[in-house]
Amino acid sequence: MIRADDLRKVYRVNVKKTGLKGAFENLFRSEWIEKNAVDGISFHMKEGGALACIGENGAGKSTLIKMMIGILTPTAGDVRVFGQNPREGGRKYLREIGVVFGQKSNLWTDIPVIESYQAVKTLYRLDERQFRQNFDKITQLLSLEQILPVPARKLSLGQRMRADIGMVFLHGPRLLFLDEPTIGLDINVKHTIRTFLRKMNQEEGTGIFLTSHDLDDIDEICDDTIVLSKGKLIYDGTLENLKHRFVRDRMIQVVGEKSGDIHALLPGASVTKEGRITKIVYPIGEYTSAQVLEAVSRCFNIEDITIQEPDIDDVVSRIFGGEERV
Amino acid sequence: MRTFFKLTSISIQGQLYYKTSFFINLLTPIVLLAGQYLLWTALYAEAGSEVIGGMAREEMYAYILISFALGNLIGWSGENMLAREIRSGTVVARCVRPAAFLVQSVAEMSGVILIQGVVNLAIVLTGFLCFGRYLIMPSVPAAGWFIPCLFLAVMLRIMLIDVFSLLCFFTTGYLGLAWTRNALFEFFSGAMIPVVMFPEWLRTFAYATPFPYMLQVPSALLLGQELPVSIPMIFVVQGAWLIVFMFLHGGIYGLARRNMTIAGG
Repeated sequence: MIRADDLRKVYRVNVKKTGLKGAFENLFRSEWIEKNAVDGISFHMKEGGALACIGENGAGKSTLIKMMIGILTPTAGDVRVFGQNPREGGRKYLREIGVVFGQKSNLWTDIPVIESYQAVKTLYRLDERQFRQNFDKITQLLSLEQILPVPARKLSLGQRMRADIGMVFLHGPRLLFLDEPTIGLDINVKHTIRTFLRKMNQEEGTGIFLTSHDLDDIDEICDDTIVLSKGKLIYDGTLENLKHRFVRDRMIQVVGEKSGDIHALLPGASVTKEGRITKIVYPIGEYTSAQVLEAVSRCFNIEDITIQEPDIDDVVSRIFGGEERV
Repeated sequence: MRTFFKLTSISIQGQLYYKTSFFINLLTPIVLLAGQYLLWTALYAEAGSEVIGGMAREEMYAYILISFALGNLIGWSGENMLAREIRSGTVVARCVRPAAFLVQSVAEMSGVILIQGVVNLAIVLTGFLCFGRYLIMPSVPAAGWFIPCLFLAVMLRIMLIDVFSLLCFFTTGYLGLAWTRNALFEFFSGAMIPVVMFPEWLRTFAYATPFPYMLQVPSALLLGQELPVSIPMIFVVQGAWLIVFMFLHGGIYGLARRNMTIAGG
């Protein structure tokens, strides 16, 4: 579905001198530097897959999306989507994909949302049956009924994003590019959008390429991940593998009275107690889950026990915090 | 064409949605018309003559009316829609719609022009009906030539705005660009002073630019005034400038796509 080979994008950036003297000098002399926004990236995304792109600010995520949707020309390398160059795909290609930039709306701002949807019907040459089928499904799943008569300018951020996501599905895209779709949204709207996207991916087979700083988005929607840092690809694989490769500790949470000394059995673990809940964080290199569970069962009258899954936030903060080398 | 008409209709709907803003935008240019009328009335009185720079008073009043109608087809807000979108980054939505970028710009501005055009036509007709005896009247054959000339003049104006707006991909100074475009248009198109009143060297220079073909030439054609070239040649020149603007559009948009940092770099 998507294949990128040694993809590069170099931006020319004007460097301004500082200070009053520098400000005057800038008027007559320009200094330019080349910035590698995307630096030799190669990856592959399968048909109907859901691929997350993780990276800190300025890592090259948006640039990568813009090259894949064909509005930005790569400096070097090659990108193919559905086997074709997005730059050469023209309108036919644009009718097969959908794009949502979280901070920029695709809706026409001064007309009711329903009118924007009607425009999509014309622009994407949808017949009435096809349009109605998608429209009804989207309206129901994203609870859009109330906001359809309202101009986009008057919508709240959450409403606007639901309307934007709905609009992009009207033409039934084969592949969807989402650039931080849940930025600034409250938890309910995030949940609605994630559930909807996951459903469209799993049930309709719509491919999803997602960038987000909200790692819960990635956890709930995607199976595979690429990680970018300073324009370079530093990880390409499954989300599960990413988690397990970089997780050093795991946590068990126990509810129940203590009946023995857990420190004596697990001296390498850190134990904290909050009321009747005890949290045991143990290094996975030192103890197996079986050893920990046995120790816990000997030291507690267990009422409830939870094994915490590795948290993607921790993994990513380690990668970008320089703790880990990939 | 369905796409074009749909986008034009969206543009019209967008303008009509906010009533107060719509009426203010529509009617304020009339102040400019009144200003032009008073200015030239004062100049004719000061000159103590019925002719200034080869233009009789009734010719001038008719010219003011027609040039007002052509010059104010697109207001400040309509002119700067694309520029604002580029500066805010929302232009990315246009880039990913399955319609040519230029078609979207032309359709959007056509919507603006259609609404203002109807109002301006009403003002012109009212002007000729109420004050016809103070104005020279267009002939029927001139009106026949005027219609295609007007169409090309409007297209040229749209392309001028489009090309200047695209320059906003490369600079943050969109107001400066807009004022430059307006200054060039107002002066060289004959909106402020008819080009025929320019000194010869400046008139020759003005006619070498596309601006008079957006306003002065169609107005002069309608009113049977002096033309810089023959009537068929007017269409050729307008067509040629349209092609130049289309090349400029393609070139500038192509360059923008090499360094597009909107919606994140």
